[in-house]
Amino acid sequence: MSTGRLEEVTSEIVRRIKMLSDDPTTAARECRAMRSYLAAQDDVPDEWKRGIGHMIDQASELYDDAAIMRAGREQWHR
Amino acid sequence: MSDRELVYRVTIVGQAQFASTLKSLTDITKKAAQEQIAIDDAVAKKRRAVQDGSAKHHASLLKTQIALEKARARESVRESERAEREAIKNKTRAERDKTTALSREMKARERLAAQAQRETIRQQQAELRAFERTEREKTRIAQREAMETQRFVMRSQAATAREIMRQRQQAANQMAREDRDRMFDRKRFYRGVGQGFVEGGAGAARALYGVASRGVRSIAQASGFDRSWDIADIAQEQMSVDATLRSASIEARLAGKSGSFDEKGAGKKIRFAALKYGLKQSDLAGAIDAYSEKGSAATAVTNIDRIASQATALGTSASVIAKLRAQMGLSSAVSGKELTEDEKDQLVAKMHFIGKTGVFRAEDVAQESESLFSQFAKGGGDFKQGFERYLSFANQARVATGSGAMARTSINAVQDAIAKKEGKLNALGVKTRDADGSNRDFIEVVMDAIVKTDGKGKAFTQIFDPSRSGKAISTMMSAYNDASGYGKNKGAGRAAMEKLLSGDASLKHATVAEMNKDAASRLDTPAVKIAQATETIRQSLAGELAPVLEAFAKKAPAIAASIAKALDFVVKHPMLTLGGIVGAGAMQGAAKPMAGALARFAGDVVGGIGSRFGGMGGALTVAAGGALKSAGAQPVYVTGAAPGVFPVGGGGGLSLPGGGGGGGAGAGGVIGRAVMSTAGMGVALAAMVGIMATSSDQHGEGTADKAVEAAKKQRVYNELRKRGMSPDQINKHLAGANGNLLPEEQIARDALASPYANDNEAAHIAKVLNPDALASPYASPDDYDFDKGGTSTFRFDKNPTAKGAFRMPVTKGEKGYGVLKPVATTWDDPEARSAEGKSGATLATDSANKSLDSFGKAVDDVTAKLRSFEANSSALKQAFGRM
Repeated sequence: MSTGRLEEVTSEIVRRIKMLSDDPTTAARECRAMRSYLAAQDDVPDEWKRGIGHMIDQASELYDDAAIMRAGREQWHR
Repeated sequence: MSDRELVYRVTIVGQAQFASTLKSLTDITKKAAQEQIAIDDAVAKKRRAVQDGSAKHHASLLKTQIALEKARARESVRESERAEREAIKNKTRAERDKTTALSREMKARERLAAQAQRETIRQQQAELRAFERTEREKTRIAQREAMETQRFVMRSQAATAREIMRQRQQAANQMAREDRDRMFDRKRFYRGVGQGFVEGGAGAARALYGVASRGVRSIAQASGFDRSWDIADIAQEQMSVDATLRSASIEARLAGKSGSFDEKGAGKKIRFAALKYGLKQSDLAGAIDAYSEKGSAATAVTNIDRIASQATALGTSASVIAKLRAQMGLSSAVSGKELTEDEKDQLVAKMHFIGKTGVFRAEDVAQESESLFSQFAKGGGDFKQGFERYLSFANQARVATGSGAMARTSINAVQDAIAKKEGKLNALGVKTRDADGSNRDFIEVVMDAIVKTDGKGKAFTQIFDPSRSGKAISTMMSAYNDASGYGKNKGAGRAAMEKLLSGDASLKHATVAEMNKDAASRLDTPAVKIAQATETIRQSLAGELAPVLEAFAKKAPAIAASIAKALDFVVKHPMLTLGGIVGAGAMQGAAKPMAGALARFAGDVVGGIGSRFGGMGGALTVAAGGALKSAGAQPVYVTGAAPGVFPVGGGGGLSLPGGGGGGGAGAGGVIGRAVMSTAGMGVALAAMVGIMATSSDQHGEGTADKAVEAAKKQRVYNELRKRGMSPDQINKHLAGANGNLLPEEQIARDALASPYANDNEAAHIAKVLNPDALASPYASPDDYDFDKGGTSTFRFDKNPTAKGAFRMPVTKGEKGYGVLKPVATTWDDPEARSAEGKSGATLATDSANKSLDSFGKAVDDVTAKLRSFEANSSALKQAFGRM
């Protein structure tokens, strides 16, 4: 793997992170898409990919939680 | 002679002798007749001769002849008699011989027979022995085979046992993981609890995040991920950096430099340095922390780029460099002339230059910096010069020994020698300590000792062993000897040593620029590039997630307080709790929002307990739902949420921080009993109380007794039989289920816990309708699409919209949507009753009686556990308070 590729993938992920939606449901979905993107990058080191993927998974779950929490609050107020 | 013998002789022998004699006589007679004939012939002849007249002579001759013949005849008779006697004798002898021969033959035969017999016996014995040998061999072989078989069996059994143990361990691990996942499965938690929670519910979310962040970390560690991959760690790291910066800010204010420290700016600097050098922010925060011990955190922040750069160049952590620089600053300040940051850079550069040869490691120097550096500026000397002299000394040691590693050992030996042989040095008149008792610069001590002894003599070599510590100082000794003329001019010798250590030409190349080049070179490695890439993503994520994390964090204390308050009420009013909360709103403030949570909690605990005993779950959840409904409340989904928070099934493995794992079960039991009491469900409830109580025992302190266990199993068995399970299936279920849900229950629970209860998700599904995804077991089309993308790492739930067994019990728009659909369970079942051989009434009474005892115990148990939980909640509150 070239350093250039790593930087390219990193840039893309950072770009996606920066673009994450304010809406947690959408953000969770975007995280999953990001995960798919990462998974498709065959030429980056596995360990790194796993680690970054793990972080994205957690982010995705966190957004899920936030979405659920918000939905719960809305439902109660209704 | 006896008569018989006489008779024998007369008859037998006599006849024989007679016959023999007769024969002899006959023979003699015949012979005599023949001889008479011959005599007659001779007489006739004689007569004829006489008659012839011619032979008177012949007549006499004849006479003589006759006489001779007669004599011969007599002789013949005697001869025959002798022959006869001889014959008899011979016969007797022959008979005797014959008898003897016979006897011998008999004996020979007997001997042969005996020999043959012995031979036979020998053969038989040999055969027997051979047989025995064979048998023994066979036995041995059989035994060996048996042992082999046994060993094999044992080995197999051991292997099987190991395998079983392994599987059990795996299963246990799996269960623990599942418990942990449930514990930290915030998705489910919010889905179940969050929907009904208002303020308290949001608090629960925050509390859970607190728990989850720990859980996620432990999960990450358990799965072998470095902490750097962990989002909780990112958040924590961010918080840690913030806290460090806050401390620095406070410190600046205390120092009267209000406004001189910019926290945000400092944060940016740290993040930038972390990115630039591929270091973790936590390392840099640690550097600031380390620096603040000896110097000012603000100074560390200001110089964080230098620290990070030098850490990179030296291949060590930022904390090590920070510690070194802070100690340099402190020691030089004590000496009266504090180093500037640039001067520190120069010293670090020289250290780096010499350190590259392996003479010392930055970590070791940092470790010893406090005692080492304090020696450099003794007696009003210049710290910088002292430090440089130390570096030159190290360099000379390397030159003398030929390698960095040997120099390191040798320098250590010098320091050891001074420390251990202080008395000998003092005896030589060399001072090892200052007036205040602190150690003198060890290089000074070495030079003094050389000057005193001219570097020779037994006293000197006893202190500085030429094969060890002596090696490090050999170039110094050469310089001394050359300049002093082997001790003739000690002053010149000492000056030569000073010059050697102060004017080390090779150190001229040790510049900051060179060090920075090394740093840049180190940055150009794949490892650093990867670290930089990782840090970039970490920082981006941390930035984006900050608001989300903050949203969770803000709610933490509220949930802890709410749960504690509500549970306290539950403990104090076990029989009123549910009806009171739900029906009349007895609890104010936190009570209202907690009602939803508790209802779910209760229902889930009930469901959780039920699930432990197979088919009971349905009935129990119905009870909870029914009670809520009858109390005028909006019943709720029963999901997998509550066991996550209060691990009913987990045996208290991972729980809220500090333990209290059994509390949930106990609380559930209390609430469950309240449910039953409120609804007044008679036999069914009495039986359920029994189950609750026994399960509380089971999950509490492990006090379940066998009788109760057996009765419980029997009830479960009866219930499962009613449901059409075969005895085999039930036994398997009881033996292997370990409290897992029945498949259909699992499906129902998964379905209920799915995101499709949520309007937004439903809209999303409608928008991106994908028949394949909908028919799949994935929780959402996103998950389906995602997993089809090939990561196969995503956890999913059952699809509740799927047909058949996967069907959602109640769909939106139907009456009871959002309400757990009751599952008809007939408790008053004749078969079940007859199975226990008791009438419904007896069953109810027995159950009630049994339950009352265990109920009392359970309430005590529950009370204790809930208090423990409350205490933990306080601890939780405090923990979050610190965040």
